[in-house]
Amino acid sequence: MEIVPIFAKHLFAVRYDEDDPDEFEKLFTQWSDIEYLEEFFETHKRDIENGFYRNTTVEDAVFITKDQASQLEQKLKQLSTFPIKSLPESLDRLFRPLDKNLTENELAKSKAYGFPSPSWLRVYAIKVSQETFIVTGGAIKLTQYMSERDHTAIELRKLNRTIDFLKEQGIIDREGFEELEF
Amino acid sequence: MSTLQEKLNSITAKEPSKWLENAQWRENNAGWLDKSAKIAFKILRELRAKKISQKDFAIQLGLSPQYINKVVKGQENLTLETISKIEEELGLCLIHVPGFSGINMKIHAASDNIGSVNKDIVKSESIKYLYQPDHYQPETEKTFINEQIAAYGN
Repeated sequence: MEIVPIFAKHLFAVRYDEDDPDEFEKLFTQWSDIEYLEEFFETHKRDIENGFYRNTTVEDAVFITKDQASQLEQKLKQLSTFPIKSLPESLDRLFRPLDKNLTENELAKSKAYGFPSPSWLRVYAIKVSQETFIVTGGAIKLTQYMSERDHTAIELRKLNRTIDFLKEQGIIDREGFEELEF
Repeated sequence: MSTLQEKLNSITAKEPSKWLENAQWRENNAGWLDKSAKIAFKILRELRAKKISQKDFAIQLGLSPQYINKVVKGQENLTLETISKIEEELGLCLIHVPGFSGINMKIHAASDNIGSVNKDIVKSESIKYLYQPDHYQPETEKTFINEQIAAYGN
């Protein structure tokens, strides 16, 4: 596992395997890959037809995702040009605690949403300090709880795996990254 | 005791993520990438409906599987020649130039053989789409085709 800088010493991403791209790069590549999206929504057709986002066709889902990912990417690109001083505050607004009971000031598992709201896009990160986030992955979340689907349950495991790694490396030493069910 | 930033630096790769570079590329090429994505989706749905693998499709077209994979990812800046090949192979319309009637062009191109054009028109899904892209009605179309042949034939 390796930590890769995204921009300005405030946003990082995990690379789990040295032959793979980092998780941040991988997310935006997947969300602009029509083959990946068509296959994904075909597999999760039931969730988009009957779940929270009911009556959505595979075609709509693919192009909504592509569009929302593009808007999120633009927003992040803008952030990358912000003055270093204002960046931590902006990142803090973008990433919210995964556990809604926590305040933004606490170090925690975090998530950013796609645009516009409501969006099923999620970017998951660990907030390791008031001004530093490490992206562990992301997902198209179609159900209320992450544990309900394999592809989102994996993201929970990635968050926990990264926390263990950061603890081993002495980057974080605080307890409080409990195994939570989302 | 080292600061968090120093500790992070010690385990951070020197090379930054390629995301920013890729994001810039996607922004610079957004126009054709958008069209490529729509074409990719149509091809994927047709391949799925007809249960054709990308590999078999590549063989049918005489193209490499790697190339077809790039096409269905929506990452290929397709030529008109390739689009036409795919349209013909799958029997569907992938692009449409507004303001042009496909039938007029077809009939002029084959004015010495109206009979076969008529046959082609009835057979070809891609041409059907050119006439009635939103609500295809075969009977209406047949009347329309006959009117066009009457106007431009002979």
